[in-house]
Amino acid sequence: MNPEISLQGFSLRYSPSADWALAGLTLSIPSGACCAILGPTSSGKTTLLQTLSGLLGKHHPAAEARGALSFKDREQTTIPREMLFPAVGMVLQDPYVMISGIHETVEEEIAFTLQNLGIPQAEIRSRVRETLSMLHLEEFARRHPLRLSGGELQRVALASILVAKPSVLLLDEPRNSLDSAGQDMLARLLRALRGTTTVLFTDYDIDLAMAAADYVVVFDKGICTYHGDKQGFLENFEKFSSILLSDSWTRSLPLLANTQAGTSKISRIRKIFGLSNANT
Amino acid sequence: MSKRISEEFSGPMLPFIALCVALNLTVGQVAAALKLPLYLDSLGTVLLAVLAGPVSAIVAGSFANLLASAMGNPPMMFFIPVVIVIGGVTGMFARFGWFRRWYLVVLGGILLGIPTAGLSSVISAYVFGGVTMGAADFIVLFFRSQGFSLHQSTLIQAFIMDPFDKVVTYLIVFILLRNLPERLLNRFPGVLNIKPKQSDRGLNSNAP
Amino acid sequence: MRLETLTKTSLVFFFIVLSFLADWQTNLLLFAGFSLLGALQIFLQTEFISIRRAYSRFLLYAIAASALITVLNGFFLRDGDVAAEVLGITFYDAGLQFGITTGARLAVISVSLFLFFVTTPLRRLIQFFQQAGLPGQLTVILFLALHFIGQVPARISQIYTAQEARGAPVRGHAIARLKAFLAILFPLLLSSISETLERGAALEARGFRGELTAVSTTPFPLVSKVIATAVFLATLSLLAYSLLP
Repeated sequence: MNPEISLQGFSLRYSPSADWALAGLTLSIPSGACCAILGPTSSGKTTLLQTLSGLLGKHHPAAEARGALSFKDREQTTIPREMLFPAVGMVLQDPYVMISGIHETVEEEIAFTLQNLGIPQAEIRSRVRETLSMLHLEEFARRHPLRLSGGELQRVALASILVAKPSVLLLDEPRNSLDSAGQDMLARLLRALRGTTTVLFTDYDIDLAMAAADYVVVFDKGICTYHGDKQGFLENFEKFSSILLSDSWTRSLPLLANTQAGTSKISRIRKIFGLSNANT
Repeated sequence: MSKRISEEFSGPMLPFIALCVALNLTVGQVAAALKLPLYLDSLGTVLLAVLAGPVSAIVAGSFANLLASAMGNPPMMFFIPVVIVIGGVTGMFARFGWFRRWYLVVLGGILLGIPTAGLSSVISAYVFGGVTMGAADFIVLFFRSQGFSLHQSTLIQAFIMDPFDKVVTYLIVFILLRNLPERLLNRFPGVLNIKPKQSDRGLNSNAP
Repeated sequence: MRLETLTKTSLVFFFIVLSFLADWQTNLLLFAGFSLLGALQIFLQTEFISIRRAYSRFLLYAIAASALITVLNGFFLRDGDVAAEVLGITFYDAGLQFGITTGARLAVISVSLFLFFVTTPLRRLIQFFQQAGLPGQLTVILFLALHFIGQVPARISQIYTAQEARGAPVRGHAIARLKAFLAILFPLLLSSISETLERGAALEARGFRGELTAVSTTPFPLVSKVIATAVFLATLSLLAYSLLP
């Protein structure tokens, strides 16, 4: 299968005088796969997503890149300087800012994306209905978006991008505002998109990655320390545990508040996936 | 539309312009709640004139005055000409690079206070008879009781209050811009008004 | 009676111009007429108690303010004959005359604008601007401004509470209060600017290019256009008549 996204020795910095935010990334994401990008805070996860969406290149004219970045069916480039939407859709980390503030109902809010793309009204109606149903948002269709809970708002934010049917979907820490039921729903949705949409999502925890991803990428200080399937990630978990359980990461993650808790979590994951603890 | 104006009104800038409208309407209320003798009702206009440009500043200021009228302060819409002067003059000062040095900021505030005082005193005198339902009305009445004409009284009142208010507004914007992280500052078309454009060096240097 | 926004706008324009040309007696009559009309409209057709209260408060405020303007000018402007002496305080003719003229004019301007805005929800007003040909970007700014006007005070309140909890001297002397003000203002500005840039990025991420294609605009009804034109011509005629020697 052709890779949907391919990076060859890709490095990026925000300006010629800045440090490299991404350094020497070489990875390829197959078409239709679901890829989890894991790593602690400030490891370059969001920078990668913003680069792929075109947002970073557009708003940071001083940013420079080395190496190659290519999308399937697109010319190879170093860094996209324009938004690639609707081919590449990105949901930002804060669902609140994804709401335009212009419209008064969830339905209108979701339709707004398609209106921006100049899609005819009849098609807009049917696609909005379809998306509302996909994300179980029918009961909120007539509600004001800003009167929803954080989790519901996260689903509306996701719907506002999914409705455009992007071939690549980028989600920046999509689990943040979701409760456990919301996380289960998100995992089911990501599994349902498998094969039709290439999904890349960032996270600082491994739960959603274990539940929904085919591929895992581990980042540390802008460097890719692992890229491969989920099984390989779990088999070699110890290699990344120092990164994934690093201070900056554990500070933001109550579940892994100390090494002991982290270790027990690893054991739990190993148990779930039937892996031995031999090389712990 | 010229390139400069279309940059001011590009999609990503629209929420910022809208925020400046809201700042014009709300920051003054905080000052009033803390019993500080400051209007600060042009803070958003000044911020926008420096970071984006004069046209968007004039638009935001005019909208703020219109909405203020709609929300219970009817006289505000008559002061839209003053907003036009604030946006236009501040945009010009910003383009001269006056927001890079504190003493030029103070000078700019004083200079801006002159035409705004003149204009607001004319509106205040001829439209409202010197009455705008604020504490400043007592200053006007005081000078009138001393034998000054209506226009002279509103002019003196405006010259007492306007330059001071504009200097404070300019200084707040100056300090804010000094503390605004560079990654945010670089997103505004007016970044050159505050510092030399560093991005020029990086524009064509992204070859592998 | 429900008037179309275009008709209301033209009528407000007419009455504001008229208030400058008419004497104070006419203005007081106009004010009384508007107040009565407004009361009928609001108390008979609006079930919202908050609007009724706001209108009652507005009327009391407008009457009190006009009276105060008259009295203060009568006291401070010591021109002309003595008009009256109350409790040893002397009021002068010219001052009272100027005060009542200004007060009555302001009352007419205020009541006509108040009635316009209270019967025109802000979203409807923005749609009216759009119908009148306001460019898409400016319409979006107005909609977003309404959004922020709702959000910014809540954020100010959060920061204010946080600063108070940290012991910021929000009730101290002037310099201390200025420091407390800056401690509220800078976090507010920095966080709001950062958020609006994120919001701008999010709009771009949703394909927004600065043009609003969402809200369909219907042209003004013919009747409203005819009325507005007639009122506009009447206003011009009134102005021209007042300028005649």
